[in-house]
Amino acid sequence: MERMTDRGQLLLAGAFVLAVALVGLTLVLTSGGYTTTLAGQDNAVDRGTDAITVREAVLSDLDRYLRRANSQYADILSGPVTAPHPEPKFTNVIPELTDGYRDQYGRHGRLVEVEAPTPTKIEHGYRVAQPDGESFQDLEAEESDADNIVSLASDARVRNVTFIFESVPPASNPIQIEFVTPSSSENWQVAVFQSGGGWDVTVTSTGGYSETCTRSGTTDDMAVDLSAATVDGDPCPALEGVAPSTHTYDVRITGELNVDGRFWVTVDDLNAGKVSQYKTYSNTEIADVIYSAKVPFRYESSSVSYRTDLRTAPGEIR
Amino acid sequence: MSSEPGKLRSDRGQAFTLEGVLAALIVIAGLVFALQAVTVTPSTTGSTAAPVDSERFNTIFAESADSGALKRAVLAWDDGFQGVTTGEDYFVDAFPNNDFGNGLNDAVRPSVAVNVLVHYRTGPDTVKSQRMVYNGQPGDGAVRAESTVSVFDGDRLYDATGNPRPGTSVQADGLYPGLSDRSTGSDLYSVLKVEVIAWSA
Repeated sequence: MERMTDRGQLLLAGAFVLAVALVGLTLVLTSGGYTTTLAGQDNAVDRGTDAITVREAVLSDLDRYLRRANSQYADILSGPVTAPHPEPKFTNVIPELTDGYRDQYGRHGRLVEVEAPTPTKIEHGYRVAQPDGESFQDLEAEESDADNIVSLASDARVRNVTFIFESVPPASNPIQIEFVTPSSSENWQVAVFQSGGGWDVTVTSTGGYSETCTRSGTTDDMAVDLSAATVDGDPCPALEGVAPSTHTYDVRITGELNVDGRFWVTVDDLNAGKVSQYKTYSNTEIADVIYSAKVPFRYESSSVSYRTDLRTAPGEIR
Repeated sequence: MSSEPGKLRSDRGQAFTLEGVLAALIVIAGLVFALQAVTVTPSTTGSTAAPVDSERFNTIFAESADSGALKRAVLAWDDGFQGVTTGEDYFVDAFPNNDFGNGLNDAVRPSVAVNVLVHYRTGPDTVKSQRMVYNGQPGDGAVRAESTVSVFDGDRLYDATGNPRPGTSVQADGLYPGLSDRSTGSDLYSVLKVEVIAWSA
């Protein structure tokens, strides 16, 4: 009888041992899975987001810096160039910028490497501008173009075409901005003129396109942004057909030029030999600027390795 | 035979002890397991609700950075943030009267306290923080957002309302205490990190 009691106690003790072991094993497995989940979240999500955040921030900084560096460069036609070209300044600032990001994101015990060495490609361009409110009549063509025709760009991809009119001519003789394709495919014409109580912007093409936007009022300046297809910042559907960045064009101004205004045209690949044709435009500036740059970008942390190319072209529409 | 009954009592005593210890262990292990299995959610008693919608908070902050409003606020400095009236060099119980400050003020309820801190490096291993807005230690349920601001040598300093101050530049006039030009060979002055923390006061 006592022997049976002993065996019963032994069985009970064995059952307890088994129960404790099972509960312990469950605890270990549960906490192991929880730890894995936490570690996965930290590495895959948070640090991966950092790589994208840093990439976007560096690209935004490069855009802003390049825009400013370009604007500070002197007009190449106003005499000997004394200001340094923006390219060395631009290439110098890139590694310093990425070092700054590395220092800021490498805190809290994390080792982060952010690197963007020398740009692999820098594309030069020209900014043609009449920055002061002068008459377009002062743009005297030197080439053998007919009277009242001014070439602003030849066989070039055109970006950032903005005209600000302080006055416009009557409908009988409008001022016109022409985009002529060298291959003689569809050409575009943007005519600006007075109409009733406002100013009209009419867009036509050799392919039969014809649309008009009207800006009411005649007292304030009118800003026509052909790249963004806006008039005074408001959408102008008529301008959407032009899409000046999609082809190479000769850009000309024709018609009644005796009106006042300003303009900026950025072109990407104007033949340097043709720059001389602008010398007689007394109010026009032309600057050799950086049109675009491609910069290799690398972000490395203990769990994320990310490489891509950053392309900055601040005058370009995206 | 006389020793057998004594040995038996001793063995049984040990077995009872072992049973007691094992029973205690299984009860404790069960309690630990039960406690681990309890789900803690933000609405569980003892925690506080987020003072602002964190997604909206991040969006507003990101928009300020994109538009340049954050940078103008960071550069509104003249031995202290412009517009401060407390005698400190940062705002207490108030926001800067510029686009960034007004945007932040619109984004949070009056009962929400906000800190805005600018972190910058003064050496390879030293980081300093300049308070722009400070309302004490953050409480429970704080929401946090951060962004970087790159400052260049020729950047203008700004006044209290976000207008550039003519004739000033970061390089000539300097910025926060201990912050110097990190790169004398390039136009970059420094890369700053701005951190915003909001919580229910």
